[in-house]
Amino acid sequence: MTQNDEQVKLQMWMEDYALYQLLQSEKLSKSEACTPPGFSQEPSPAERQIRLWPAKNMEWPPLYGVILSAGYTRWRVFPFSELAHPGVPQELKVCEEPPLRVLQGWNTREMSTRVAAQSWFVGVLPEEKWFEVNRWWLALSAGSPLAGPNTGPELRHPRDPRHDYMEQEVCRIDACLGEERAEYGVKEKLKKAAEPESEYGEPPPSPETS
Amino acid sequence: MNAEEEMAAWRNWKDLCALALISNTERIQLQQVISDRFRSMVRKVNLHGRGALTAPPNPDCAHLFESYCAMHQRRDGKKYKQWLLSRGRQDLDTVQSGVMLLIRNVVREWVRDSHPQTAEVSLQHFLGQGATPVTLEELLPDTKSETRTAEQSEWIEETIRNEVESLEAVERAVLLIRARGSVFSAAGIREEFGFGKTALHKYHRLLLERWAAEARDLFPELAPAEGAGLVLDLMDGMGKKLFRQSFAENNDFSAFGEMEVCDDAE
Repeated sequence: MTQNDEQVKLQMWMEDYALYQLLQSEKLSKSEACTPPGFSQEPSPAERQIRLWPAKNMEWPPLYGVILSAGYTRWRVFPFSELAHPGVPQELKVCEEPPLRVLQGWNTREMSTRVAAQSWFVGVLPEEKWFEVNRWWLALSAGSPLAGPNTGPELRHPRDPRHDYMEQEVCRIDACLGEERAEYGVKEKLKKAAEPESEYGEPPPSPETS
Repeated sequence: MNAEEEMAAWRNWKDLCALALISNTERIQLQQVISDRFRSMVRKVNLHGRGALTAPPNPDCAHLFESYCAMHQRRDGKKYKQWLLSRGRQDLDTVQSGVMLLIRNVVREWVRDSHPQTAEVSLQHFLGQGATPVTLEELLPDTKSETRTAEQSEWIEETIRNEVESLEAVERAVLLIRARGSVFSAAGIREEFGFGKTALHKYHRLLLERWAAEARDLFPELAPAEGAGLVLDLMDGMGKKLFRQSFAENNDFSAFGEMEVCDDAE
């Protein structure tokens, strides 16, 4: 039997996942809470930014994610997968080099500026990649994931190991971005229309003043 | 080197940005710490019979670690150092366990690049555990249904017609969530359907087993991948039917129905 494109994609992902599982099987760090470090020197969150969020628990490594605006003072974070290939149709490969390769559209979190700012600024996604991400997200949020070489294979079988992968990934992202998928009612000072916006790169106001 | 000196070496490494820029004694110590962890991960790969790999020399292990974490010298790509030195109690123990957390991915990248045959998975490779492991080709059977007989297509249609109304609430939830392409643990699923992810996964598998047993009885000549394809098509078809029903229930179109007239004059 010859392999079709979807099977080839699944095979590549599965090879990476088998190795990932093998190396993940041991608990490496104590399960204790981490106090968040200071981020006062970091620029305010903005669209296209790649940022690094520390885990709230010692068991997890930090998480890279890309920021998309989700309305006034709200941000949507697309986490990067730790794997090299997209695992499901709702994942998109944006780069070839680790550790920033595959975005998880099915595992995003929406948050306030305050929560998004609890992270380190790492870089900015190139314009052409950002266009691709927007096109992909538009289709995905309309319920029609784009198919193609940069997205993952279909998930149909109840015994597919990707169900376990997705459950594990939900835990990993919860550990870094919080379990609250859509946080509302965060009281932030509204700016007057004429109030100048801070320049890109300036440190955000400290939590005491906001 | 004692714990205090090693901690000072890590701080120097963070401040000076690279192992190459710290003192020789400190560099040798940190390279040793990194490569010890690298080797322990490689041993793990070897222990599970995935290969007989030998880790690179200490400076190369440390170089792979720095390159991976610094994202190939991206301008701001060294924030992981801040993470490493600012988490938890900020002592040597937490720094070393942080290195271990990062090194897992470094070793995985090294295996993928240098020894790809170590992690090969074939189409007929059994995946997962349990009484009924599946092969990769069963997970994603070929969608070309040219080989499907009229009886098999009829079985799918008939099962959808006969069983869609008699499904249990949890089974309907499973098939509907599946048709929507959502994850069972997604936010709002429990609130919307009243079932948690454990129950949903369980009934997802039970539905497959029930219909797979029926398909095996009716079509014993089918190969496992063909049988899986038949049942998955049935599950998708049933899900689409439920999705259409739920869409129609939630959108009460009255274009062809009676128009309600409100007589304000009375």
